[in-house]
Amino acid sequence: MIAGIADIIILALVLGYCGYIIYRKHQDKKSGKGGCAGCSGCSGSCAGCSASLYQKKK
Amino acid sequence: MTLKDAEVGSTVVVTRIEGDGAYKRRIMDMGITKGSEIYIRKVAPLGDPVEITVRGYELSVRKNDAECVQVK
Amino acid sequence: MAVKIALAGNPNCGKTTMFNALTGANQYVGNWPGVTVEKKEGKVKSRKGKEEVIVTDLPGIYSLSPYTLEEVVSRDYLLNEDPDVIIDLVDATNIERNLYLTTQLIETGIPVVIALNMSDLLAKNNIKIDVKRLSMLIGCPIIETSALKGTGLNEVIDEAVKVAKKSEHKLPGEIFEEDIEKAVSDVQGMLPDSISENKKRWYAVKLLERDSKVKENKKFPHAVLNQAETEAKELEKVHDDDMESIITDGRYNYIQKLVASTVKKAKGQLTVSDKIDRIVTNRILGIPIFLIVMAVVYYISVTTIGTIVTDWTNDVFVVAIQDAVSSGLGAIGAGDLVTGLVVDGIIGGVGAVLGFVPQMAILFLFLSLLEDCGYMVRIAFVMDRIFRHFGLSGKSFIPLLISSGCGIPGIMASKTIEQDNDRRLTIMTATFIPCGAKLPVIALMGGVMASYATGSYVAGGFVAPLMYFIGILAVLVSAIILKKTKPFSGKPAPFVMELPQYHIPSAKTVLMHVWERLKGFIIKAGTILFLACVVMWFLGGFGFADGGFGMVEDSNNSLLAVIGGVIAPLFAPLGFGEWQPVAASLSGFTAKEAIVSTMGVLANVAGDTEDAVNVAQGVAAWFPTTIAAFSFLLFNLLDSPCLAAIATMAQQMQSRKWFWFAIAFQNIFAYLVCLSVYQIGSFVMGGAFGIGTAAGFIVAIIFLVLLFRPDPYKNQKVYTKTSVQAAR
Repeated sequence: MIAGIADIIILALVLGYCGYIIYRKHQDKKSGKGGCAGCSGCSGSCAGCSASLYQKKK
Repeated sequence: MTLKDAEVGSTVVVTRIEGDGAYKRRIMDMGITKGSEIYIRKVAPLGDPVEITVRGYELSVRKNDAECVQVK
Repeated sequence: MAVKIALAGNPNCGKTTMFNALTGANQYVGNWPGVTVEKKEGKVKSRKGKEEVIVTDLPGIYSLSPYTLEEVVSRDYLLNEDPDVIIDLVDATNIERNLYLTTQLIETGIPVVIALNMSDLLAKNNIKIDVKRLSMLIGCPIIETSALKGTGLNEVIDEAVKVAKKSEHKLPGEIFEEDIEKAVSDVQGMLPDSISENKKRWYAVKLLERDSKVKENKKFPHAVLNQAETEAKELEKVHDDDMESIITDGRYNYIQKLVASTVKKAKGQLTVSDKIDRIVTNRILGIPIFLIVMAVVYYISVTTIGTIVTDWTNDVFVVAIQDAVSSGLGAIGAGDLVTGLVVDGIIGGVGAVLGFVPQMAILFLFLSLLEDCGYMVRIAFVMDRIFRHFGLSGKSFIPLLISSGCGIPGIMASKTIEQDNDRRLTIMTATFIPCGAKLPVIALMGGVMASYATGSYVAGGFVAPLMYFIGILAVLVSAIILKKTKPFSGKPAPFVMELPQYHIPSAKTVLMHVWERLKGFIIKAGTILFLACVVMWFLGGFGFADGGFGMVEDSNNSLLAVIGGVIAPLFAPLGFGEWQPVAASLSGFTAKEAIVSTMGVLANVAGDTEDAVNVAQGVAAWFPTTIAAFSFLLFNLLDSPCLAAIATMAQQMQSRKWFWFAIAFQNIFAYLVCLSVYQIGSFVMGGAFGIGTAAGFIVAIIFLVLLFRPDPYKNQKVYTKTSVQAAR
């Protein structure tokens, strides 16, 4: 199954990237991304957040 | 009569606001105070709420809540 | 030392636009301590060589009363954090009501600079303002700005800094009639010196108004309180009204005089907005227009260009990439395992979702257009009466509208609802409305359903608007049922809402919004979904077989199948008792798109690794009938949202008990609804009558009973407690 160098490199890349993603998510939680938490609606910057449009409309 | 009974298209003047606390304050904060002029602009599709013009801008008020506002 | 500026103003006056323009990316968004009101702070950009300026954006407020969280948070900030100057954003087209807040800001004793915003719209609306004179009368510098166009911003900051640096500031001036002013100065004179001179007027007025928050937070000597009470009673007798009304009237009288001599308005012309509203919120046409608009939006998003590109992406593009990568990997000597991971797991999974980007882009475009032009607010107006019948106010409708893009800001928008029970109800049901992430699921399952019914995937377009309306229906049904129970009963909140002018959204803003959302989606695909796919591929491709652990030929032996197999029978009565759909649903907790990506992975894994598989065809194998596919779709729309949204629910509920109740409610509701839909649906489509069918009917009857029983709380006149009263 696990054959040569190519396998190991690719596996390392994929798993490394996964680890990186997890690490970044953890960092984001810690620095308190108060408000949104990364969804399709926003992309982290509340400049595009449609909620702000409605925030004003009480 | 109350704001609830006013006819669409008419202009009325507020004489008194009933009720107390948060709600009355909110109504007044929006500009509906004793002596202010209100123009009944339109009524929403099912008869409620009502769109009025007061102090130059549009406001949307429930007919039931409009009961608290006495006008002439 | 940095200059601290507080940015204040009414909702809808362009404050957020101005704040973003001033601070750009240098902003920090958090919460005011202890409450769920958002706090935004930022450093003003482009001030090389000049003083550092920090702006705190206060929530949009109409007044500084003690009644709502936003107002309390704002007044506490102004009185306790000592900003150097306030920039008061005044909407030039609504000047009287905006100045009402201005008088209160001035009273806090902090110097105020007025930014007369939207001044570019004045000419259009035939309004002329004598700015110099107004500035002199009100005692504050006034700078004309247009946050949208970006003019006047530097000037207003420079002026604010100039004012902040002055060593001495004027005390707030007198605005009321003589007798009221006398009362104010009497009380003011008795205030202890522990209160700074410039703040004394604020406290004097508040004490006369018997402001509950002020009395709570500061201890005043009895003599002062008694004096205030005496003066208040006297004034109330003379004016035949309560103190709060007297003060509010007084402010407006003052403003009327100001405006009379400085603002010239052409009377009686219908603005363009009014003309549009005459049709759009028309008594008879309003709701049909709304239904048609939303149906068109969803239909076009999912079919036409969207479908063509998506189909091409899924059938041609992704498959081609898979083949290419597959051979490429083979050429460099990679083994089956790794190739499988990359081609089936990652590309198959993520590719399945990315194929839906075109459709999502179109949906986001429509939604942005509708929001930015001002139509969405009218909907709340139109829907208010319907909602009141179901015990909710139109204010509850706005979070639902937002949820059609993403549920997270939708849930957060519920914090404007003051009634606790209505707010909780809205938080719980907001995610019934299909969010952008659910669109791929709808599109995929819609295609599957259509292929059964018509033999082609195209007609699936009608499914999308259908699910949107089902979402709204689910909210209404939940509201009816829950409102008849004690914890949720109570009159719906009073609905007083402002309707801003329509305006043509700038192409730049709309495109920026769309891009922001798309970017978020793609990033999500490349991160969370990537992870989910790797995990799912592993779980779906490995297991215990032939006495050992390793890659399995038949995915039915995989770990995922085993885990899923344990739970799957639970869902058999709902029509999808196989482990694959169950596993996909579970993966939906990381992100709803993962349902599609997981199904993509599993379809690829189950298929021949030589030829890549068309995802929809592979998926169809798990749903024997149209109604089963529909039930699966419905379940994933009504059950609990993605973890991120769940976390937001927890944050907004602010109570463990209610949070868990919400989760339980959503999932049990989804389960029961799908149970009866599938069972009754199958029966109606010609199936046999069995235990399941009976169960389906029983559940349906229970729902009907809960819906139509008389309301034991019908005549409750009391408004339930709001969290402002509860907040310390």
